[in-house]
Amino acid sequence: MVFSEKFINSDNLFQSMKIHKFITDTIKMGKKGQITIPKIIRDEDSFNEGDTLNITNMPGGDIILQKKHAPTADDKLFEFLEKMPKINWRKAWEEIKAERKQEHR
Amino acid sequence: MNYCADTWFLLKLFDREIKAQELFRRLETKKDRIIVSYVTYGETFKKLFQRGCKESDIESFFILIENTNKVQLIPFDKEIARESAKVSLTFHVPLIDACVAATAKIMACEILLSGDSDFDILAKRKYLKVQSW
Repeated sequence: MVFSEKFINSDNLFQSMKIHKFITDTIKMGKKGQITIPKIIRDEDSFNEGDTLNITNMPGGDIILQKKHAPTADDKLFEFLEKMPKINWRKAWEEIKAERKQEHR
Repeated sequence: MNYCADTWFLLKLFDREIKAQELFRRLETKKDRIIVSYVTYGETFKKLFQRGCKESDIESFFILIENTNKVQLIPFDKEIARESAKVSLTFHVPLIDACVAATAKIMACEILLSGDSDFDILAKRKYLKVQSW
């Protein structure tokens, strides 16, 4: 599995560690690698049937399961801006300053 | 914290300038907000349009920033107009600068986000605080 740079650099993991209870449990793997997330964890993190999870295999063998959140309004804004052409804000701002000064005269 | 954004900040944000994006992401919806005057809205719209952006994209930009609940557009009204006139005359700054500063003052913004040196005199005389980078 390829490491996701976004995941490693994000504060999400550390944020969730601060907010949620630290819970540890032992589970058994079933057929075809199926596992059940204990109810106490499902309740704590509001995991529901049909939710999508990200799975990350960390160096050293630890595996992290992370609930995939719906994009926030910020995410939507920045995703949109990624698609926009660069406008050279410095030049645009210089033009505006000149226009403001011209109107002042 | 209440900020007031000049066109300078919105252009940086649109152009994905790192510090502008960081500041925007750091804002907490229930505690912080960015006030944008209709004057700033108009000036930003004009400049983005001049630089080849599609009208629909510019509209989307403003809708998306408002949807974050971190940005509030403020109409230009009589109170802001009067204050703008006073600011322009008192500090000898262009009327558009005065409109932005007056909006910041009337909306009780602690900080004006602008790289316009015309605001230096307003900051020096403690009319408002200005943040730039």
